[in-house]
Amino acid sequence: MAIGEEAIVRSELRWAAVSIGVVSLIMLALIYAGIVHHINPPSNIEPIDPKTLHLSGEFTEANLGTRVSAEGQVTSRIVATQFTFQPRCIVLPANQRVTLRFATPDVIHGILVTGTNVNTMIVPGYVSQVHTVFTRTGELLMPCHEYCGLGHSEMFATLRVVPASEFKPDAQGRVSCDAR
Amino acid sequence: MTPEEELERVMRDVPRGALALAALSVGLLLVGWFLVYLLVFLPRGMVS
Repeated sequence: MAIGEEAIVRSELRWAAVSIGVVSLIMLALIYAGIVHHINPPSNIEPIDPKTLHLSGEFTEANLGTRVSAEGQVTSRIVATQFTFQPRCIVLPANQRVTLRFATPDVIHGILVTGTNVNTMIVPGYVSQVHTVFTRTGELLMPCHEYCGLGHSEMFATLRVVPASEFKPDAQGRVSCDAR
Repeated sequence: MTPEEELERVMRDVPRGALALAALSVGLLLVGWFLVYLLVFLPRGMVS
């Protein structure tokens, strides 16, 4: 036959080198995105008791939504529950680092914010935390992307990203969709 | 051309075609990946 075993081994070795090259190239691109553009998978291991999160601590009803701390840090706390987000509308400033914190009292949920890299699971027993900067203003859809039951398709919230000049916290540092 | 010669010709050409097809497929996949990376992933901004 025209093609011998040696030629096959040589071609396979060459192909293995191409595969290693492709994987290395993609790894380098991901490392570049992580270091230069600060695009990293959200990572936060912070336990919370799902049975009592609505009774005390930071996820009580009065504490949900967007709040600006005395240091100017913008944090939004959201509870994901079958089959809604509480609150369903969240105001956030554009071009400023914001922190989104999620917890759930029932089953596993997940969120993504359309047009951004914000994407995380929300697991009972843990606080999910994402830091991001929204560069475009407007209303962004935030649906649940982990099937959580029969009403899953109705479970979504809206992030209202406003210019910094229109982002006006009240005396307690709170900003809500109702106030605007 | 005898059947043996015909088989030999096919066995000579087929590996080259398979390699070209594999290289084209992987090349297109890589181009597609980098188009999504540059035009979708990076513009969507920081997250951590």
